Amino acid sequence: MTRQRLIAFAGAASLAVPLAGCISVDTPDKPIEINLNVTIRQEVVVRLQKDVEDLINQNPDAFPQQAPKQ
Amino acid sequence: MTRIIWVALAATAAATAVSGHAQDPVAAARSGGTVGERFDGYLGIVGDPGDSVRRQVAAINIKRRSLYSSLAARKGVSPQEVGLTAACTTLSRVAIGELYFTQSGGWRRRDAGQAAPVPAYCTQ
Repeated sequence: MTRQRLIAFAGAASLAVPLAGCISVDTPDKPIEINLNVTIRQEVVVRLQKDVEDLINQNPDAFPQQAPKQ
Repeated sequence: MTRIIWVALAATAAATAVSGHAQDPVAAARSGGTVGERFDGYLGIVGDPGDSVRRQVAAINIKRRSLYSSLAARKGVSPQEVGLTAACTTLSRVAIGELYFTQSGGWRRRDAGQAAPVPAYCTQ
């Protein structure tokens, strides 16, 4: 039981650490800068598209008013 | 008579309060042309939408960056690549009259009769 708890805690902690790393921004008003030089290969798009669509549909707070395609 | 006026005023105030909350300010800014989707998968600001909208856009973008980063880690790609792929969906949902930011052309408005500004690398 204690061991199970420990594993669960370690699991939660390992999840929380990278998340916290992303969320804890000192100046939330600082805009995320636009990098015009980013590129992407089509095979990467193909590989990511389904997961990204799910991500968008499952997080309406981060993607408000994203009504389905018109 | 005075009482009737007060009741009418109160009703108007209540209706205004309700309609004020009915639409999300970021959504209003989006249709008003001060907030739009960017090609990199984030929301952008054009002109001055006010501090409240500015803060909400920043908060949304921080959430997006967090979501992109965790998916990127799972798939072994960069968060930028996830953002560019997300733009395939977010840009496909830009409504007529809304602004969007392209990699080469800056801010543009989707006019009536124009197709959604989906980047060429996106799969249909």
